[in-house]
Amino acid sequence: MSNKYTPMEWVAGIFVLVGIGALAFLSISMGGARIFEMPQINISARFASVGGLRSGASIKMAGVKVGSVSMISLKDYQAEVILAVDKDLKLPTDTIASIRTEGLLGESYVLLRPGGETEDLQEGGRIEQTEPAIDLIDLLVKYALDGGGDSSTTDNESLGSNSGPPELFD
Amino acid sequence: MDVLLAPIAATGRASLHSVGEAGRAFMFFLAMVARVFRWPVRWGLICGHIYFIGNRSVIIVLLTSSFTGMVLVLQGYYALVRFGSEVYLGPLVALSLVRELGPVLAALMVTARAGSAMAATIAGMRVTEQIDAMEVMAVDSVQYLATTRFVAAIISMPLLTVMFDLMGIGAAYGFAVGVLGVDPGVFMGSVRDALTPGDIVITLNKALVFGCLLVWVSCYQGYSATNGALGIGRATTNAVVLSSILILACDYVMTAVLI
Repeated sequence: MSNKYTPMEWVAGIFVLVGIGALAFLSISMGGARIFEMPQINISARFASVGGLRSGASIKMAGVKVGSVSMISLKDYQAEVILAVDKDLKLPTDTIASIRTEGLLGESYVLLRPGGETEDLQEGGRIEQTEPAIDLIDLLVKYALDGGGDSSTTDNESLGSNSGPPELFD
Repeated sequence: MDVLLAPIAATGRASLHSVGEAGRAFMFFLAMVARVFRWPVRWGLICGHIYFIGNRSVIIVLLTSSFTGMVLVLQGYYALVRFGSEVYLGPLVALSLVRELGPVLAALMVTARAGSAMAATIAGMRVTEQIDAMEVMAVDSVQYLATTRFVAAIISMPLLTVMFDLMGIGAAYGFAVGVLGVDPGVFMGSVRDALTPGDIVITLNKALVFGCLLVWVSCYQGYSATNGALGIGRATTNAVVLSSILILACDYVMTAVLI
Protein backbone atom coordinates (compact mmCIF):
# COMPACT_ATOMS: atom_id res chain seq x y z
CA MET A 1 0.00 0.00 0.00
CA SER A 2 1.38 3.38 -1.00
CA ASN A 3 1.71 6.26 1.43
CA LYS A 4 -0.49 8.52 -0.64
CA TYR A 5 -4.18 7.86 -0.11
CA THR A 6 -6.39 7.81 -3.16
CA PRO A 7 -9.39 10.16 -3.26
CA MET A 8 -11.65 7.12 -3.01
CA GLU A 9 -9.99 6.07 0.23
CA TRP A 10 -10.48 9.56 1.63
CA VAL A 11 -14.15 9.63 0.72
CA ALA A 12 -14.77 6.11 2.05
CA GLY A 13 -12.96 7.11 5.24
CA ILE A 14 -15.18 10.16 5.65
CA PHE A 15 -18.26 7.94 5.22
CA VAL A 16 -17.08 5.51 7.87
CA LEU A 17 -16.22 8.28 10.35
CA VAL A 18 -19.53 10.10 9.82
CA GLY A 19 -21.34 6.78 10.26
CA ILE A 20 -19.54 6.01 13.50
CA GLY A 21 -20.28 9.55 14.70
CA ALA A 22 -23.96 9.02 13.94
CA LEU A 23 -23.91 5.73 15.82
CA ALA A 24 -22.27 7.34 18.84
CA PHE A 25 -24.79 10.17 18.80
CA LEU A 26 -27.76 7.81 18.49
CA SER A 27 -26.63 5.51 21.27
CA ILE A 28 -25.40 8.08 23.77
CA SER A 29 -27.73 11.02 23.23
CA MET A 30 -30.94 9.15 22.43
CA GLY A 31 -30.39 5.55 23.46
CA GLY A 32 -29.13 6.53 26.88
CA ALA A 33 -26.10 4.23 26.72
CA ARG A 34 -23.80 4.91 29.64
CA ILE A 35 -20.10 4.69 28.94
CA PHE A 36 -19.12 5.53 32.48
CA GLU A 37 -21.36 3.52 34.77
CA MET A 38 -22.39 5.49 37.84
CA PRO A 39 -21.43 3.57 40.97
CA GLN A 40 -24.57 2.05 42.46
CA ILE A 41 -25.58 0.14 45.55
CA ASN A 42 -28.17 -2.62 45.74
CA ILE A 43 -30.98 -2.31 48.25
CA SER A 44 -33.83 -4.78 48.61
CA ALA A 45 -37.45 -4.09 49.42
CA ARG A 46 -40.42 -6.42 49.84
CA PHE A 47 -43.81 -5.56 48.48
CA ALA A 48 -47.16 -7.29 48.90
CA SER A 49 -47.67 -6.79 45.16
CA VAL A 50 -45.51 -5.24 42.46
CA GLY A 51 -48.38 -4.79 40.01
CA GLY A 52 -46.98 -3.89 36.61
CA LEU A 53 -43.43 -3.21 37.79
CA ARG A 54 -40.76 -4.81 35.62
CA SER A 55 -37.02 -5.04 36.00
CA GLY A 56 -35.40 -2.01 34.40
CA ALA A 57 -38.15 0.30 35.66
CA SER A 58 -36.94 3.58 37.06
CA ILE A 59 -36.58 4.54 40.69
CA LYS A 60 -37.45 8.13 41.47
CA MET A 61 -37.16 10.45 44.37
CA ALA A 62 -39.16 13.65 44.20
CA GLY A 63 -39.65 12.93 40.50
CA VAL A 64 -35.94 12.69 39.74
CA LYS A 65 -34.56 9.39 38.45
CA VAL A 66 -32.04 7.97 40.91
CA GLY A 67 -31.68 4.34 39.76
CA SER A 68 -33.41 1.33 38.27
CA VAL A 69 -34.98 -1.94 39.35
CA SER A 70 -32.47 -4.70 38.75
CA MET A 71 -34.39 -7.83 39.78
CA ILE A 72 -37.81 -8.96 40.95
CA SER A 73 -38.30 -12.35 42.60
CA LEU A 74 -40.65 -14.10 44.98
CA LYS A 75 -39.52 -14.53 48.62
CA ASP A 76 -41.85 -15.75 51.40
CA TYR A 77 -44.92 -15.17 49.25
CA GLN A 78 -43.86 -11.56 48.81
CA ALA A 79 -42.24 -9.82 45.89
CA GLU A 80 -38.62 -8.99 46.62
CA VAL A 81 -37.38 -6.14 44.47
CA ILE A 82 -33.68 -5.33 44.18
CA LEU A 83 -33.18 -1.61 43.70
CA ALA A 84 -29.95 -0.33 42.17
CA VAL A 85 -29.63 3.22 43.46
CA ASP A 86 -26.92 5.80 42.78
CA LYS A 87 -24.24 5.43 45.42
CA ASP A 88 -23.91 9.11 46.29
CA LEU A 89 -27.58 9.25 47.26
CA LYS A 90 -27.87 8.93 51.04
CA LEU A 91 -31.01 7.01 51.99
CA PRO A 92 -32.04 7.04 55.67
CA THR A 93 -32.96 3.62 57.08
CA ASP A 94 -36.62 4.59 57.44
CA THR A 95 -37.03 5.46 53.76
CA ILE A 96 -40.43 4.55 52.35
CA ALA A 97 -40.61 2.76 48.98
CA SER A 98 -43.88 2.70 47.07
CA ILE A 99 -44.85 1.52 43.62
CA ARG A 100 -46.61 4.15 41.57
CA THR A 101 -47.69 4.51 37.98
CA GLU A 102 -47.01 7.49 35.79
CA GLY A 103 -50.37 8.98 34.98
CA LEU A 104 -53.39 6.73 34.69
CA LEU A 105 -51.99 4.15 32.30
CA GLY A 106 -48.27 4.92 32.34
CA GLU A 107 -45.34 2.77 33.37
CA SER A 108 -44.81 1.64 36.93
CA TYR A 109 -41.90 3.02 38.89
CA VAL A 110 -40.63 2.92 42.45
CA LEU A 111 -40.99 6.13 44.44
CA LEU A 112 -38.61 6.64 47.35
CA ARG A 113 -39.42 9.06 50.13
CA PRO A 114 -36.63 9.71 52.64
CA GLY A 115 -37.31 9.40 56.34
CA GLY A 116 -35.71 11.20 59.25
CA GLU A 117 -33.21 8.67 60.63
CA THR A 118 -29.60 9.70 60.84
CA GLU A 119 -28.30 6.28 59.80
CA ASP A 120 -28.07 5.54 56.07
CA LEU A 121 -28.85 2.35 54.18
CA GLN A 122 -25.76 0.42 53.09
CA GLU A 123 -25.14 -2.00 50.22
CA GLY A 124 -27.43 -5.01 50.65
CA GLY A 125 -29.70 -3.16 53.10
CA ARG A 126 -33.43 -3.55 53.19
CA ILE A 127 -36.14 -0.93 53.04
CA GLU A 128 -38.68 -1.97 55.67
CA GLN A 129 -41.53 0.39 54.92
CA THR A 130 -43.14 -0.30 51.59
CA GLU A 131 -46.41 0.44 49.88
CA PRO A 132 -47.57 -2.07 47.25
CA ALA A 133 -48.82 -1.24 43.79
CA ILE A 134 -52.36 0.03 43.66
CA ASP A 135 -54.59 -2.01 41.39
CA LEU A 136 -56.94 0.45 39.79
CA ILE A 137 -59.49 -2.21 38.82
CA ASP A 138 -59.60 -3.60 42.37
CA LEU A 139 -60.11 -0.11 43.66
CA LEU A 140 -62.93 0.57 41.22
CA VAL A 141 -64.68 -2.71 42.01
CA LYS A 142 -64.41 -2.05 45.71
CA TYR A 143 -65.67 1.47 45.31
CA ALA A 144 -68.54 0.52 43.04
CA LEU A 145 -69.79 -2.22 45.34
CA ASP A 146 -69.29 -0.25 48.54
CA GLY A 147 -70.89 2.82 47.10
CA GLY A 148 -67.77 4.67 48.13
CA GLY A 149 -69.21 5.15 51.61
CA ASP A 150 -66.66 3.23 53.67
CA SER A 151 -63.76 5.49 54.36
CA SER A 152 -61.59 2.64 55.67
CA THR A 153 -61.12 1.25 52.15
CA THR A 154 -59.39 4.35 50.94
CA ASP A 155 -56.73 4.80 53.57
CA ASN A 156 -53.25 3.59 52.89
CA GLU A 157 -53.40 0.57 55.17
CA SER A 158 -55.89 -1.45 53.18
CA LEU A 159 -54.90 -0.37 49.69
CA GLY A 160 -53.88 -3.49 47.84
CA SER A 161 -53.10 -5.25 51.12
CA ASN A 162 -52.72 -8.93 50.52
CA SER A 163 -55.24 -10.20 53.04
CA GLY A 164 -57.21 -12.38 50.67
CA PRO A 165 -60.23 -11.32 48.63
CA PRO A 166 -61.84 -8.08 49.70
CA GLU A 167 -64.88 -8.53 51.89
CA LEU A 168 -67.48 -6.98 49.75
CA PHE A 169 -70.67 -7.20 51.72
CA ASP A 170 -69.73 -6.58 55.30
CA MET B 1 -47.85 -42.58 -20.41
CA ASP B 2 -45.11 -40.02 -20.90
CA VAL B 3 -47.72 -37.30 -21.18
CA LEU B 4 -49.20 -38.29 -17.85
CA LEU B 5 -45.88 -38.48 -16.09
CA ALA B 6 -44.46 -35.26 -17.51
CA PRO B 7 -45.87 -32.88 -14.83
CA ILE B 8 -44.64 -35.18 -12.06
CA ALA B 9 -41.20 -35.37 -13.63
CA ALA B 10 -41.13 -31.59 -14.01
CA THR B 11 -42.08 -31.10 -10.35
CA GLY B 12 -39.36 -33.49 -9.30
CA ARG B 13 -36.75 -31.78 -11.46
CA ALA B 14 -37.74 -28.36 -10.11
CA SER B 15 -37.52 -29.45 -6.49
CA LEU B 16 -34.21 -31.25 -7.03
CA HIS B 17 -32.95 -28.14 -8.80
CA SER B 18 -33.94 -25.84 -5.93
CA VAL B 19 -32.34 -28.12 -3.35
CA GLY B 20 -29.13 -28.26 -5.37
CA GLU B 21 -29.20 -24.50 -5.92
CA ALA B 22 -29.66 -23.86 -2.18
CA GLY B 23 -26.70 -26.09 -1.40
CA ARG B 24 -24.51 -24.43 -4.01
CA ALA B 25 -25.48 -20.97 -2.77
CA PHE B 26 -24.65 -21.99 0.79
CA MET B 27 -21.26 -23.37 -0.26
CA PHE B 28 -20.64 -20.06 -2.04
CA PHE B 29 -21.48 -18.21 1.20
CA LEU B 30 -19.04 -20.35 3.17
CA ALA B 31 -16.32 -19.82 0.57
CA MET B 32 -16.95 -16.06 0.61
CA VAL B 33 -16.81 -15.82 4.42
CA ALA B 34 -13.79 -18.11 4.75
CA ARG B 35 -11.78 -15.85 2.46
CA VAL B 36 -12.26 -12.82 4.73
CA PHE B 37 -9.30 -13.95 6.79
CA ARG B 38 -7.16 -15.08 3.89
CA TRP B 39 -4.19 -13.15 2.55
CA PRO B 40 -4.09 -10.87 0.60
CA VAL B 41 -6.58 -8.45 2.12
CA ARG B 42 -7.43 -6.14 -0.75
CA TRP B 43 -7.96 -2.88 1.12
CA GLY B 44 -7.98 -0.80 -2.05
CA LEU B 45 -10.83 -2.80 -3.51
CA ILE B 46 -12.71 -2.85 -0.19
CA CYS B 47 -12.42 0.95 0.01
CA GLY B 48 -13.79 1.24 -3.50
CA HIS B 49 -16.75 -0.95 -2.59
CA ILE B 50 -17.37 0.98 0.63
CA TYR B 51 -17.46 4.09 -1.52
CA PHE B 52 -19.90 2.43 -3.90
CA ILE B 53 -22.17 0.75 -1.30
CA GLY B 54 -21.82 3.38 1.41
CA ASN B 55 -21.13 6.87 0.14
CA ARG B 56 -23.19 6.62 -3.01
CA SER B 57 -26.19 5.30 -1.02
CA VAL B 58 -26.18 8.06 1.59
CA ILE B 59 -28.37 10.47 -0.37
CA ILE B 60 -31.01 7.91 -1.24
CA VAL B 61 -31.03 6.56 2.32
CA LEU B 62 -31.42 10.04 3.81
CA LEU B 63 -34.21 10.88 1.36
CA THR B 64 -36.22 7.72 2.05
CA SER B 65 -35.69 8.05 5.79
CA SER B 66 -36.94 11.62 5.99
CA PHE B 67 -40.12 10.76 4.10
CA THR B 68 -40.60 7.66 6.23
CA GLY B 69 -40.20 9.68 9.42
CA MET B 70 -42.62 12.35 8.26
CA VAL B 71 -45.30 9.91 7.13
CA LEU B 72 -45.03 8.06 10.46
CA VAL B 73 -45.60 11.34 12.29
CA LEU B 74 -48.55 12.20 10.10
CA GLN B 75 -50.23 8.81 10.52
CA GLY B 76 -49.38 8.52 14.19
CA TYR B 77 -50.48 12.04 15.04
CA TYR B 78 -54.00 11.70 13.70
CA ALA B 79 -54.41 8.31 15.35
CA LEU B 80 -53.08 9.46 18.73
CA VAL B 81 -54.66 12.91 18.90
CA ARG B 82 -58.12 11.34 19.20
CA PHE B 83 -57.11 9.92 22.57
CA GLY B 84 -55.18 13.00 23.57
CA SER B 85 -51.98 11.00 23.73
CA GLU B 86 -49.70 12.91 21.37
CA VAL B 87 -46.97 12.38 23.96
CA TYR B 88 -46.55 8.89 22.53
CA LEU B 89 -45.79 10.27 19.07
CA GLY B 90 -42.04 10.41 19.71
CA PRO B 91 -41.72 6.83 20.99
CA LEU B 92 -43.96 5.54 18.20
CA VAL B 93 -41.79 7.10 15.51
CA ALA B 94 -38.43 6.39 17.13
CA LEU B 95 -39.13 2.76 18.02
CA SER B 96 -40.65 1.84 14.68
CA LEU B 97 -37.77 3.52 12.86
CA VAL B 98 -34.97 2.06 14.95
CA ARG B 99 -36.36 -1.43 15.40
CA GLU B 100 -37.98 -2.12 12.05
CA LEU B 101 -38.09 0.43 9.31
CA GLY B 102 -34.50 1.64 9.53
CA PRO B 103 -32.73 -1.66 8.91
CA VAL B 104 -35.33 -3.01 6.48
CA LEU B 105 -35.77 0.05 4.29
CA ALA B 106 -32.06 0.86 4.26
CA ALA B 107 -31.31 -2.71 3.20
CA LEU B 108 -33.98 -2.62 0.50
CA MET B 109 -32.62 0.66 -0.87
CA VAL B 110 -29.07 -0.68 -0.86
CA THR B 111 -30.27 -3.85 -2.57
CA ALA B 112 -31.94 -1.84 -5.29
CA ARG B 113 -28.97 0.47 -5.74
CA ALA B 114 -25.87 -1.60 -5.02
CA GLY B 115 -27.07 -5.22 -5.03
CA SER B 116 -28.38 -4.98 -8.57
CA ALA B 117 -25.12 -3.40 -9.72
CA MET B 118 -23.09 -6.13 -8.00
CA ALA B 119 -25.07 -8.88 -9.67
CA ALA B 120 -24.90 -7.21 -13.09
CA THR B 121 -21.16 -6.54 -12.86
CA ILE B 122 -20.25 -10.05 -11.75
CA ALA B 123 -22.67 -11.66 -14.20
CA GLY B 124 -21.14 -9.59 -16.99
CA MET B 125 -17.69 -10.80 -16.02
CA ARG B 126 -18.95 -14.39 -15.85
CA VAL B 127 -20.59 -14.48 -19.28
CA THR B 128 -17.65 -12.74 -20.96
CA GLU B 129 -15.36 -15.32 -19.32
CA GLN B 130 -13.37 -12.74 -17.36
CA ILE B 131 -13.81 -14.82 -14.21
CA ASP B 132 -12.36 -17.85 -15.99
CA ALA B 133 -9.46 -15.70 -17.14
CA MET B 134 -8.92 -14.60 -13.55
CA GLU B 135 -8.83 -18.22 -12.37
CA VAL B 136 -6.32 -19.05 -15.11
CA MET B 137 -4.07 -16.28 -13.75
CA ALA B 138 -4.35 -17.92 -10.30
CA VAL B 139 -6.35 -15.03 -8.84
CA ASP B 140 -8.93 -16.22 -6.32
CA SER B 141 -12.04 -14.87 -8.04
CA VAL B 142 -14.38 -15.43 -5.09
CA GLN B 143 -12.10 -13.43 -2.86
CA TYR B 144 -11.45 -10.76 -5.45
CA LEU B 145 -15.09 -10.24 -6.41
CA ALA B 146 -17.29 -11.42 -3.56
CA THR B 147 -15.32 -11.22 -0.32
CA THR B 148 -14.26 -7.61 -0.89
CA ARG B 149 -17.91 -6.65 -1.41
CA PHE B 150 -18.92 -8.71 1.62
CA VAL B 151 -16.48 -6.88 3.91
CA ALA B 152 -17.52 -3.52 2.46
CA ALA B 153 -21.21 -4.31 3.08
CA ILE B 154 -20.56 -5.46 6.64
CA ILE B 155 -18.88 -2.12 7.31
CA SER B 156 -21.32 0.13 5.45
CA MET B 157 -24.72 -1.37 6.20
CA PRO B 158 -24.80 -0.70 9.97
CA LEU B 159 -23.54 2.84 9.37
CA LEU B 160 -26.14 3.51 6.68
CA THR B 161 -28.85 2.12 8.94
CA VAL B 162 -27.83 4.37 11.81
CA MET B 163 -27.90 7.34 9.45
CA PHE B 164 -31.38 6.25 8.34
CA ASP B 165 -32.58 6.08 11.96
CA LEU B 166 -31.13 9.45 12.91
CA MET B 167 -32.34 11.25 9.80
CA GLY B 168 -35.79 9.70 10.17
CA ILE B 169 -36.11 10.82 13.78
CA GLY B 170 -34.75 14.25 12.84
CA ALA B 171 -37.24 14.68 10.00
CA ALA B 172 -40.06 13.43 12.23
CA TYR B 173 -39.04 15.94 14.89
CA GLY B 174 -38.93 18.79 12.39
CA PHE B 175 -42.31 17.89 10.93
CA ALA B 176 -44.03 17.26 14.26
CA VAL B 177 -42.70 20.44 15.87
CA GLY B 178 -42.76 22.72 12.84
CA VAL B 179 -45.98 21.72 11.13
CA LEU B 180 -48.17 19.92 13.67
CA GLY B 181 -47.18 22.04 16.64
CA VAL B 182 -46.11 19.22 18.96
CA ASP B 183 -44.11 20.41 21.96
CA PRO B 184 -40.39 20.01 21.10
CA GLY B 185 -39.30 19.16 24.63
CA VAL B 186 -41.99 16.52 25.06
CA PHE B 187 -41.15 14.92 21.70
CA MET B 188 -37.41 14.69 22.25
CA GLY B 189 -37.78 13.77 25.92
CA SER B 190 -40.13 10.90 25.17
CA VAL B 191 -37.81 9.66 22.40
CA ARG B 192 -34.91 9.62 24.86
CA ASP B 193 -37.02 7.77 27.43
CA ALA B 194 -38.25 5.20 24.94
CA LEU B 195 -35.00 4.33 23.14
CA THR B 196 -32.74 1.96 25.01
CA PRO B 197 -29.27 0.64 24.11
CA GLY B 198 -31.02 -2.67 23.40
CA ASP B 199 -32.95 -1.08 20.52
CA ILE B 200 -29.73 0.16 18.98
CA VAL B 201 -28.20 -3.31 19.29
CA ILE B 202 -31.26 -4.65 17.43
CA THR B 203 -30.84 -2.08 14.66
CA LEU B 204 -27.15 -2.96 14.25
CA ASN B 205 -27.75 -6.72 14.32
CA LYS B 206 -30.42 -6.49 11.69
CA ALA B 207 -28.31 -4.24 9.50
CA LEU B 208 -25.39 -6.68 9.69
CA VAL B 209 -27.53 -9.69 8.81
CA PHE B 210 -29.28 -7.89 5.96
CA GLY B 211 -25.95 -6.66 4.61
CA CYS B 212 -24.60 -10.24 4.57
CA LEU B 213 -27.79 -11.46 2.91
CA LEU B 214 -27.85 -8.95 0.11
CA VAL B 215 -24.18 -9.37 -0.78
CA TRP B 216 -24.46 -13.13 -0.65
CA VAL B 217 -27.52 -13.30 -2.91
CA SER B 218 -26.32 -10.64 -5.33
CA CYS B 219 -22.82 -12.05 -5.72
CA TYR B 220 -24.06 -15.61 -6.02
CA GLN B 221 -26.60 -14.68 -8.68
CA GLY B 222 -23.92 -12.86 -10.64
CA TYR B 223 -21.43 -15.64 -10.15
CA SER B 224 -23.74 -18.38 -11.40
CA ALA B 225 -25.01 -16.46 -14.45
CA THR B 226 -25.13 -18.25 -17.80
CA ASN B 227 -26.55 -17.58 -21.27
CA GLY B 228 -24.94 -14.29 -22.28
CA ALA B 229 -26.80 -10.99 -22.16
CA LEU B 230 -30.05 -12.70 -21.22
CA GLY B 231 -28.33 -14.28 -18.23
CA ILE B 232 -27.07 -10.91 -16.97
CA GLY B 233 -30.62 -9.57 -16.95
CA ARG B 234 -31.94 -12.66 -15.21
CA ALA B 235 -29.17 -12.59 -12.61
CA THR B 236 -29.88 -8.93 -11.80
CA THR B 237 -33.63 -9.50 -11.47
CA ASN B 238 -33.13 -12.60 -9.36
CA ALA B 239 -30.65 -10.82 -7.12
CA VAL B 240 -33.01 -7.94 -6.34
CA VAL B 241 -36.14 -10.06 -5.94
CA LEU B 242 -34.50 -12.78 -3.87
CA SER B 243 -32.61 -10.34 -1.63
CA SER B 244 -35.75 -8.32 -0.95
CA ILE B 245 -37.79 -11.40 -0.08
CA LEU B 246 -35.03 -12.81 2.10
CA ILE B 247 -34.55 -9.48 3.89
CA LEU B 248 -38.25 -9.22 4.72
CA ALA B 249 -38.54 -12.86 5.77
CA CYS B 250 -35.38 -12.63 7.83
CA ASP B 251 -36.67 -9.45 9.47
CA TYR B 252 -39.74 -11.31 10.66
CA VAL B 253 -37.68 -14.17 12.07
CA MET B 254 -35.19 -11.83 13.77
CA THR B 255 -37.96 -9.74 15.31
CA ALA B 256 -39.68 -12.86 16.60
CA VAL B 257 -36.42 -14.07 18.14
CA LEU B 258 -34.99 -10.80 19.42
CA ILE B 259 -38.06 -9.11 20.85
